Amino acid sequence: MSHQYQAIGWNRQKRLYDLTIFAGVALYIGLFIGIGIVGFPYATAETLIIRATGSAAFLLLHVVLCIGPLCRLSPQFLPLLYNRRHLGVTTFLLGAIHGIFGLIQFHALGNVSPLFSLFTSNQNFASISEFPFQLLGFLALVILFLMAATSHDFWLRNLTPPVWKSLHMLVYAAYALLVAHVVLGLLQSERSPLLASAAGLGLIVVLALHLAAAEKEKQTDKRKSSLASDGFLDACDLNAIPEKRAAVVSLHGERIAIFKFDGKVCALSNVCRHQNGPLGEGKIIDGCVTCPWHGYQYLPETGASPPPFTEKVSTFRTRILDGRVWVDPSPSIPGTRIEPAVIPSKVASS
Amino acid sequence: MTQSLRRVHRISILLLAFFLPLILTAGLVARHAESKSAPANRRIRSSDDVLLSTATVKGAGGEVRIQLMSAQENSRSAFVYFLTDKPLVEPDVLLYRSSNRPIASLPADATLLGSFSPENAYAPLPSNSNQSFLILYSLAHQKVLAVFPETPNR
Repeated sequence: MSHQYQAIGWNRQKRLYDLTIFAGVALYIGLFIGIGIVGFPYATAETLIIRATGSAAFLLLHVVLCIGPLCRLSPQFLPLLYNRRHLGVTTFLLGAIHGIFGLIQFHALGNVSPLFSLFTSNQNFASISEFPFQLLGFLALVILFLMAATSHDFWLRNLTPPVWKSLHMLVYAAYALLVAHVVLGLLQSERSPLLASAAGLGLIVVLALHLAAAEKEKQTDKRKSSLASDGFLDACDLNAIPEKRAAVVSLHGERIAIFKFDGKVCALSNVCRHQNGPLGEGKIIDGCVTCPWHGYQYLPETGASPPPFTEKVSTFRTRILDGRVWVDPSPSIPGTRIEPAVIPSKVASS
Repeated sequence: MTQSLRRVHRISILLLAFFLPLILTAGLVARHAESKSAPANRRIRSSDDVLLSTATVKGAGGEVRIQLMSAQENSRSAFVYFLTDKPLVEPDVLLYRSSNRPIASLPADATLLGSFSPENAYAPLPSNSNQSFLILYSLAHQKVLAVFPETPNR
C-alpha cells in the first residue's frame, strides 16, 4: 500500500520473485541456444536468438495467464500473483527481442524500410498455410507494449482500476494473436508432432483453468437470498465464517465480503481499490482487512485504509438473526463508518 | 473484479475456447495439405538426363558436391534440377539466375527463382537466350555459395 508514487516499492519478496524470473529465463535461453548450437549447427546465431526468445515469451505468457485462474481455484497460488506484473513485463521484453531480431533478419535487407516490408511483403490473407503470420505477432507485441508501459501503479491510479483492468484484459486478444502467430508461422514449417502437441496442450491448460475458475465464480453469483421487509437480505450462516476471515456473497449483483472478528461482524465491498482484488479472500491482520493480492489494508468498520493511506471501499449494514447474517445490500459512501453487528453470546458459544 | 468486467472476462474466454481450437486445427490441416502437394516436384533420375555443370559447396556439414542436370519430361516439357551427394547443411539458401558470372556478390540482373532444394525442378533457360548462370546464394551469410553455368560441360 502506498500514499505516494514510487518508482518501485522493493521488498524481499519482490526481489526473490524477480530473481527467480531472471534465473528461469536465463536458464531457458542458455539451454535453448546451447542445445541449438550442438543439435543444429547450420542454424545462425540470429535464428537461435529469435527462436529462444520467441518460445520463452510464449511459454511465459501461458504462465501469466494461468496464475489468475489458479488463484481463483486455490489460495495456495496467491504468492505467484503478488508480482505478476513483472512476469508480464518480462514477457513483453522477450517478445520485443524476438520481434526486433525477426524484423532485422527477414525485413531489413531490402530496399524498403523494415516496417513497410513487414506490412507489404506478404499479402496472402486468403491462405492459411501462407498467411502473413508476422503481422499477428506484431499486433500482439503492440498490445503487450501497452500493458507493460501502463503496468505501474501510477497508471493504475490515473486510469482508475476499472479502466486499467479493461485495458489489461486485452491480454486475451494478445494471446489469441500469438496462438495464431505460432500456428500459422512456426507450425507450418516445423512439422514435429511434439511442437504441435505442446501448442495444443498449452491451449487446453489455459482454457480449462479459465473455464473452471469462471464456473466457480458463477456459482457464487447465482445464489439467491431471502428478503426482509426492511431491505436486509439473508446472506449466510454465521458459523460458516471462520474467525478473522470472510464469507463472500453476491447480493443484488454486488459481491460483499462479510468478515467475522473479535465477536463482531462487518461487511465491505469485495473489490479492493488497488487492482480490484477479492478482499473477501484475504484475512484480518493487525485489525485490518488485508487484500490477498498485494496487501492493501482497510479498517473493517469504515472501509478506509489506516492513515496516511487514502483508499476507501463501501461498507454495508449487517445484523445477526437466529445464527444467520443479514446484510443491507445498499452500499454506503466509501469510507463511511458502520457499527459492526455484535454476535450474541449464546450464538458465539454455540 | 467487478460484475461487468467479470462478464466481459467470461465472454472473452468463451470466444477463445471456441476460436483458438479452430485456428489450431485449421493450421494443422492446411499444413498437411501442403505437405502432400510438395513431392510433386520430385522425380527419379533418368539415364537420358544431361549433366550441365558441377560445383562443390563447403557447408556446415562438410563439402557437398552438387550437379546441375537437364531433363526432358516429354517432347515439350524440359527442366533443370540439382543432385547432391549429401544434404547441404546451410540456412536460407536461395537460387538465382543471372546472365553474368558473379564475382563476390549477386549481379545486378540476378532473378530469384526460389529457395534451393534438390527436390525441386526449375524451368530451363529459354532456348534463344545467351549464356546464363544459376547461383546458390546464402541469405544468412550474404555470400555466393556456388555458380552453375547453364550449358553442358564440354
